[in-house]
Amino acid sequence: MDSVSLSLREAFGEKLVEIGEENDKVIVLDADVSASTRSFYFRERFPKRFLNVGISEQDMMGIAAGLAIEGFVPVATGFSMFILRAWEQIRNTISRDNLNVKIVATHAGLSDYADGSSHQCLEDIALMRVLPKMNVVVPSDPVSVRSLLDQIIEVRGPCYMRLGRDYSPKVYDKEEEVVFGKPNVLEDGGDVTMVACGLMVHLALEARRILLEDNIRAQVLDLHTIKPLDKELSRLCERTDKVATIEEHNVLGGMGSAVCEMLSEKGFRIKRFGVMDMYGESSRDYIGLLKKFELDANSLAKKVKSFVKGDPIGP
Amino acid sequence: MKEEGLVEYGRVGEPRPIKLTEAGKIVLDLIDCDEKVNDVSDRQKCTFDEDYGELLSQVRSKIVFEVYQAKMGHLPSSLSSANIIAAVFKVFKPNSVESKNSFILSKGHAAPALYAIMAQEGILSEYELASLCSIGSRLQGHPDKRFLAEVMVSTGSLGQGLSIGVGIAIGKKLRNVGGKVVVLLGDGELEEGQIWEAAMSAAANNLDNLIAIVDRNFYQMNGSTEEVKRLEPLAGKWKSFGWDVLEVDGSRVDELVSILREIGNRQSKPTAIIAFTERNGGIESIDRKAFYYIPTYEEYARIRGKRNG
Repeated sequence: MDSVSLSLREAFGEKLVEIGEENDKVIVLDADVSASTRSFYFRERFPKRFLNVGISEQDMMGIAAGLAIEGFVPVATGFSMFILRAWEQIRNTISRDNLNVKIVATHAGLSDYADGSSHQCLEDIALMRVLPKMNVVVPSDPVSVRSLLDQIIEVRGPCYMRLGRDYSPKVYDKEEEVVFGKPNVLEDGGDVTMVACGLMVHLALEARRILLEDNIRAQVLDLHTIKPLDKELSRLCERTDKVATIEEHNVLGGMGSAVCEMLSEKGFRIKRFGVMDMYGESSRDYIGLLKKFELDANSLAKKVKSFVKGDPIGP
Repeated sequence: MKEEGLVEYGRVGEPRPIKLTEAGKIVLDLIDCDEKVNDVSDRQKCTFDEDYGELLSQVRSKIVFEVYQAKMGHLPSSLSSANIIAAVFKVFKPNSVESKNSFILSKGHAAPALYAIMAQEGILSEYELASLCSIGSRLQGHPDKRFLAEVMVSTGSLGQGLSIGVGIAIGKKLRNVGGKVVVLLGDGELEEGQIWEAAMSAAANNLDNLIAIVDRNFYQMNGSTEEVKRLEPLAGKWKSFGWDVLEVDGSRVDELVSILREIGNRQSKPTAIIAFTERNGGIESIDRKAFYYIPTYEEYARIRGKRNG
């Protein structure tokens, strides 16, 4: 998979063109950020099936709904933060009428590090998964972007795909390893299960290596499909009584909350790690910002260790 | 006429019983047999081809019946839109298998008018009109595709229908299938910013297959549109956004019909029709300033009687 570049949005832009070659019903919509989301690759290849609606996300979602009614498979792209501006349009038309619209939201989480809190989207998983019929996927690396994009195009009904901006070390070798709806056990371990999504999967794997130095063996799960949430999740977590969820999102309402909703009745001890109900801020580098929010591998290892050892965990 | 609670009422061949007031039951029994369509599959259409006065009288009567039965529903706004929707159905036969045309009721609160005209066209049964807003009814307070597949798209949240219309119009052009897309907008609804995003999109994409009709009744919930947030000069707004603009007396179905029939491909531009209407649909006893009004039985009987007389 050396041909796949190591950026989520690059992988997205490239895969979209490949899908366009196969499926002439696919139409890409853009709210004038295609240079940044990389959907402009599609515009260059299929100018007639690409629509830049301008800086108007609400209009974009309505147009996507209309195209879906006409039998097309619209892929509406934009920055996650500003796609939320059209949440009510997504709710009232796309979700309510179960329209076959694919929403691909880039620059999610803290990945738009320099732009600051106006652009850093920490609320989208919560807002999308609360919508009936909406499917929510968070790929963890370029290979899973390619795989899941292929699969959500085939899913009948509305889908939301959440992507970070650039930084995305490799997690998978082959696209076949990632199956829509099925969480992946990436590492075994009996002391604690780390359930992560997006970039946090890679960082959970790093944290696992650090934890091994303290003889803590963590199971690592990639929960790339947050909705529908696989009923097998509780069985996968059964090997450990402690579960740590790790997400680049507000700890309220996101992936961790979804996991809690499923596991709370089964007697697990669950700790949610993420952004603690606050907004982001500007930084000159991404990793520095993740450290500030204690979402880098060292901070995660430290917090998970405290959780496993039963020490009180600071705020 | 006294009302004695609700009674179960059902007919052979009807999908489900409905709850009616005693008065409503009598009214339903009195409805002329030729208006009744017992089975949706047996769509015998009422034909009043050129007699729009009679058509309108029947549609209004149906709207008042729905709202009188439910004791809820936006009556004035529905009466205001009735002529326009009737003309659109007459000309375009939208959202049907045999037609390529689409209609979106962006001002979804005029749903009783849409349902009345669908009944007039034989798409719904007259009987079903009595079920507006009751649990399980296909006739939701605002058009809801999950319940009534015959509507193009669910609406109810103002300001969103025009964008959907733009999407459908682009889709029709891409598919090269012809057909028109008609979106009915309320005038108060034009205060929503998304309308103007969509207006720009329609002009930028040269959507000459898109028609927006503004139900210009000059009132919104809390008063006159000009007092709440001045809309005028309204025609100038649409023109400056790159649309062809027509102004029409919305009380005249014949004028609406002839304008809609004439709209061909207008220089690659979308068309806005500003239809001047009365929110009471010309029924003088209904206050046109009221956004919500439930008719009394006497009123209902009079409107019904007027139609029969």
